[in-house]
Amino acid sequence: MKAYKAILKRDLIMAWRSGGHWIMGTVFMAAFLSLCGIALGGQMSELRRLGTALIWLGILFSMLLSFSTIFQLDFRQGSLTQMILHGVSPLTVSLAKWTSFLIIGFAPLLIVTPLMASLFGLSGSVVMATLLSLAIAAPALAAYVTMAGAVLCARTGAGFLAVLLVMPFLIPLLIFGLDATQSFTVEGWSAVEIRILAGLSLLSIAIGLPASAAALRANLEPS
Amino acid sequence: MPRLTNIDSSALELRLNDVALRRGDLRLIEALSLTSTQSDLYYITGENGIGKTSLLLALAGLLRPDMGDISYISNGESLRASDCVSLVIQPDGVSRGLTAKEDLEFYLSLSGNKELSHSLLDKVGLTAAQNVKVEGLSLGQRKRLNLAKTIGAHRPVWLLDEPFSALDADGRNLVADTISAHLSQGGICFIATHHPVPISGFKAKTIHLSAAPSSEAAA
Repeated sequence: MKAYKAILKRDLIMAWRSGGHWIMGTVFMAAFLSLCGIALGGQMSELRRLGTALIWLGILFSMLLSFSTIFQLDFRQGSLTQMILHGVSPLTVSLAKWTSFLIIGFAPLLIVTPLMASLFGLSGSVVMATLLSLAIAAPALAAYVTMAGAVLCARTGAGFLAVLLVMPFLIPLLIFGLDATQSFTVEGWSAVEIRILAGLSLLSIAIGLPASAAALRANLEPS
Repeated sequence: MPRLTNIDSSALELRLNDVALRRGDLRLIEALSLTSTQSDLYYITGENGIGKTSLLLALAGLLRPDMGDISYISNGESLRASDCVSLVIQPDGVSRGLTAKEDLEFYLSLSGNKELSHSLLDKVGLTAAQNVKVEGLSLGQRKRLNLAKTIGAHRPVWLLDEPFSALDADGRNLVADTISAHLSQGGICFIATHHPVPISGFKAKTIHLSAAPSSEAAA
């Protein structure tokens, strides 16, 4: 627990002082969604229909693309090795990195989502539903991205592999996430899809974090 | 998880049994056997690229020997290498963006030691530079920071890669004194270097790595 807190605090300080790396994901999402708006012809009726899906995709891509920020620098500068040699278990490292990624890589996206939603003319209840479903799915997305980061921490320029690795896991999240958004708008809390999404999210944490711990161990220690 | 500081260094034994290291087809180390107990000082020498750092990594449990095994035994109990060693190699693990003090405190909090960072910084002569970001430290100052971390981790076995390079005369004495203090407390020290520095009061053994099958000779 002590090590978890120490790593989390260190990561947040480093991100804050990194000269704005943490905001790149948000900038990417904003650019992606604005360009989508233009590409789709700017017709409000059309945009309103597609808005939720596009926002989901924007967040998905922007999180996926920042997979290398999680472990790569620490691997290269030797900090991961030193953490393990200081007696921190790979699972604790993964857990702390996952938490810091949720804060650095996801929270800013969630904050700008309402702004993006106004671009597509989404109504208040749809925005609420989108935010809720994103918040429920985020731990799962972050767990899978952490896993990709751990598997590929020793490789540079492995973005293609990361996409390939994580894609199959993201598909069910995307399907149920969009379903949950839709039915929450209509049915509110009684929507079954919200509960399925929550269950899926917990399951993903249970898969993603131990997998990334195993990947770290494989990258740092001999089998 | 058991805390590591309380490993009884007087009972700790490091055993290398017929260890062989290879990199591709290149044989780095062949049939190296030794038993190291308290207050042992080893210098690992040999030309560039001969496998000095690989040997340190293997001793730290980060590289599996191609043959043989390396074990840490205390009172008949086998310990994990990562619980016994402090390793200082390149890259040294300092975190970009943190100040020297923050970096030291981070590692101190990981090993759960109550050591005060300012007394350690004072000991290694970094008090004036404690609020400088690590990427702004000179090579010698980085060495001093790593020395402070090594002291703070309280591990019985120190594995150091070129601890004397890039340091001024004062710094070299500091490193030698620190190693001497560690050895007199019963610690074990493996130092990979091109320029062995005599540590007063302790007889160093040399592991010389050469392109021919490696041999161990007492210097």
